[in-house]
Amino acid sequence: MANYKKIAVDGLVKNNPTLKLVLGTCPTLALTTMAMNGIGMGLAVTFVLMCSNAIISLLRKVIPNQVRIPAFVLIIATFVTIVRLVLDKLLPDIYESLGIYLPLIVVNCIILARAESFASKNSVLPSIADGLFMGLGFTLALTLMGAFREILGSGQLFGVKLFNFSIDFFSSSAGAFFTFAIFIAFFSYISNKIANHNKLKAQLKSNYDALNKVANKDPIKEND
Amino acid sequence: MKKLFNNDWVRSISVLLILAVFLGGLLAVLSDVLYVAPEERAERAIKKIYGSTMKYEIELDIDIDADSQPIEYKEIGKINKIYTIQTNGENGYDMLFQSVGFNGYKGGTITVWVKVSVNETTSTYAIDKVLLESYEKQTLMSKLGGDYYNNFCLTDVTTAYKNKEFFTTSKDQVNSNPVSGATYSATAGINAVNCVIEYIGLTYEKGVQNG
Repeated sequence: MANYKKIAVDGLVKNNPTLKLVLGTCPTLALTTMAMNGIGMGLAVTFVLMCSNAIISLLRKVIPNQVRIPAFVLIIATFVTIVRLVLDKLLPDIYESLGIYLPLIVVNCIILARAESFASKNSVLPSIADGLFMGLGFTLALTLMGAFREILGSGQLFGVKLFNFSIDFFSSSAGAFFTFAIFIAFFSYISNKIANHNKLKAQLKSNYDALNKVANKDPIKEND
Repeated sequence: MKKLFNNDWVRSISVLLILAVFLGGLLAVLSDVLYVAPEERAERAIKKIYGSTMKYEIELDIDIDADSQPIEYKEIGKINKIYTIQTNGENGYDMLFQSVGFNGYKGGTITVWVKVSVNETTSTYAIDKVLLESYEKQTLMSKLGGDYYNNFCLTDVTTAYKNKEFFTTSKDQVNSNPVSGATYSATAGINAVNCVIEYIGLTYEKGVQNG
């Protein structure tokens, strides 16, 4: 029985593909000028991740080890093309705003990394779950970064004007690197705090258990 | 046969071939189902500019009519599409141009939609709206938002053509539209709009000569 809770926590927080593993940096830097772009790109990647993980997991015993990478790329490229066709037909505005970065999902490290390290070694359902949560982790990071840059860079959020104040720097490429650094630093700070807290909690629990053990082994007699 | 398939080479190539054929077939079917016709693209562009669908006639569209050629102005750019839009105005109609400007930053191009309203009573052509469609090699052009393209609005195109008052990046000219900063250039965008001025000016002059 797969541990779906662990898969979810891994994808969203513990091994967040953008902020922890620093994968898929190219679209992260280029597309986070607006929060909507982050959602669009994130959901496109999530769809490709889920579908490619499912197919790769299904065919993991059929695909020979020697040609696994070309086979994975073939499967990933098919789903990326499907996403392009669907977006061009049904959501042309998002298709236009994602531009060249949509076909570049084929070479996104997150997808190939999950195919190689998870889907090719696990059964279908856990692989789909892994794709879903890794994709959602990516979407979350891109959307938050996009919102941050959109608010500071153009004074708006999801295209709605909030105020007339804006700092052009955050819309530029240098601003993208700066924002990425701030987010990674903040994410590392929070995750380290949580890890330290959990470590301390575990240590206290083990001390408490040890004390209990000693107390039970050598009980203090009331008469003494 | 079984022995042959157990060979690593044969098995690898077979699996890749089967995958390619199956996935290729799937994509062929889907691309047929999800095909976006040039007519649909034209309607999308009109909707983007007018906010709703409008009745239109095609004067030139190199995507719909494979035999048609773009109207080229070698130095500055070319016009790929011309539509005539029926508006509610009593005195005239609108013309919509898709124009590509050359000589941008690093030799890049900018494609814009130019909406021209035609008043038949006074025989005036006015540029009402310019909208960025796409660009090549000029990654920072997206920073020039909607307000920037309002600078291209022109009330009398034929007079501007007659007086050779084209848009220019030079600040001391009449229709100057310079972009500050050294990192990006508006030359291609300006050239795209100038193509439309050139087209209207030449067509109007021909019409006057022919009576």
